[in-house]
Amino acid sequence: MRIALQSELRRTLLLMRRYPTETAAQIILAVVSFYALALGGRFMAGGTLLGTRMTDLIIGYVLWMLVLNTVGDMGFGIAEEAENGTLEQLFLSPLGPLRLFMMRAVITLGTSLVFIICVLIGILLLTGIRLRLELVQLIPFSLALLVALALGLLVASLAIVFKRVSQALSIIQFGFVFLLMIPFDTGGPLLAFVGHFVPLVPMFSLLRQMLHHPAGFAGGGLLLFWSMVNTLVWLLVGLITFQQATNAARHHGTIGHY
Amino acid sequence: MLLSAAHLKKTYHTAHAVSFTAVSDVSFDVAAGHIVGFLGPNGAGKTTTIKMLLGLITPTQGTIQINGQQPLQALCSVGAVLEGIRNLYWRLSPAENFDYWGGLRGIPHQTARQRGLANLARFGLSAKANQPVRELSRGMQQIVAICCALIHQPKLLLPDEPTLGLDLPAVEKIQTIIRQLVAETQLGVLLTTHDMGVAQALADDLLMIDRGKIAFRGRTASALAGFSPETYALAFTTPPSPAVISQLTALGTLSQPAATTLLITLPNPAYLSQLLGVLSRLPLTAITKKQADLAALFKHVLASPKKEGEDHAYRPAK
Repeated sequence: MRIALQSELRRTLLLMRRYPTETAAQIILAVVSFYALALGGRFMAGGTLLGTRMTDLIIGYVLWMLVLNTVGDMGFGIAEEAENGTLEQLFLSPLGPLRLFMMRAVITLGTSLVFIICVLIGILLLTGIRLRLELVQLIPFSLALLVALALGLLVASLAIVFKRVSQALSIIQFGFVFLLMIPFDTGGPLLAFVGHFVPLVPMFSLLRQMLHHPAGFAGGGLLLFWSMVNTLVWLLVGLITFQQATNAARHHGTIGHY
Repeated sequence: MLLSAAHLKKTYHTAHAVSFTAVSDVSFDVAAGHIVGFLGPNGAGKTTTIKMLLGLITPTQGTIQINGQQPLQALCSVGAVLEGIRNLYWRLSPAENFDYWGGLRGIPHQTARQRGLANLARFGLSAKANQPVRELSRGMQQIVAICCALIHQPKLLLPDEPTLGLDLPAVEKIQTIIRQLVAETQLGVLLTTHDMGVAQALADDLLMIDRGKIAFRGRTASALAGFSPETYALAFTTPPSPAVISQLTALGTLSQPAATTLLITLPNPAYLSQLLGVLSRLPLTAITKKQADLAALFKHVLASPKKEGEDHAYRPAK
């Protein structure tokens, strides 16, 4: 597994180095998008989602980008492999498709973090804001990344079965933002309960509370509990769905189809 | 036995509740150090069979054992070059592809690179090791794909149309290297090909599939020896007259590939003496008996009516 991880990392870095303009353009686009979001972004930056302060907006944007990258990379990645004619060879790896694509997702997260740090530096330079992060904020952040992996597996499942999923992915990625804007916290007990199971909602709530009340707040333990339940549920859903999708593709003989 | 496939069947069900059986009751073995030529017309079920062996398609029925394991557990022992797909990353060089695909199989990158480059050197393509694959010719890309499939030193190789689109020198090189590898490492090969020349040159055993069923199996040498059509090429000094053609037509099936050449196929060797009697009076420059070739056997097998349960019993030598 370690050797495979090294090979995958080497390949990813090689392609990033070989096509530097693509990487640079992504960073620039991300910074510019944020700036446009921040300047005109009351709709996106409303307190229900990303907090009222600019720091909330920045951290929320960063997390959202990491999630988008992971979900998009797994979905688009599989579709691209099928189009390029390498998907079947990947399925011949002794690692198995689940471990292979999870490994890729972890690498994507790692490279995305580096990418996001560059974006963050750009944003901080443009806005003049100084960011103060607490270690404890890593907890909801890490749980959100795990859920992002799980969502990536769900999207990968779609891609394995249907292959051409680029339009569906675009809808999922941006539709997800609007889903997160639903006021689960303040919409009544039923909506609050449902919100515990919507991917990423408890983590966003926890992160928002941590940013607003760095000294501590009531209900933090409960939010943490629901964040962990949310992570576990979505990881299970992602893993099971991926396995079922792989089995279905093998049964129908459509792994290599595009 | 390195590979054992027993009673393989694959049925697809379409959206309109129509079922289609791509492969039906296919059984065969491949022994270590043997090359089995897997032949069949388009749509016969070859690729479906290969993909079932690789675990890319789940059989409806039947069992597969590769080196004593199920297909998905035996992937370390199998190398495959799949037809119609790239098999490689075109944006990477051959050396980088060796690193990557070897790494996915747990081979450290230096070892994977050395093995890949050594295989590439056998094909005389060392100079292309650091060039992106997309810049190589079709034949070179195919050769790099074969080298990648051998990186992890598999026990079983499944090349699907490995010589497709290759020029003659490349085809001969692949034949030579496959033969060397089989002799050196006891590699077992299930070679899928439409190129009868390659199959005839390489395969120890033949397996022909038609409409999802095994149509023929046997040792290549004995199959060709047993199928030796009584076909003679007759070279005349001048184009034969209609009367001559009429006389010869009475003896067998006649064709005229060139103005002064006739090909006659006798229904059985007993007609030979009559043919010689007719020919003794004709202005011939040469009479040549056509050697049996796999293409003729293949056509004969496909054209023959199939009997239920017919099988040419053979077991490759262990």
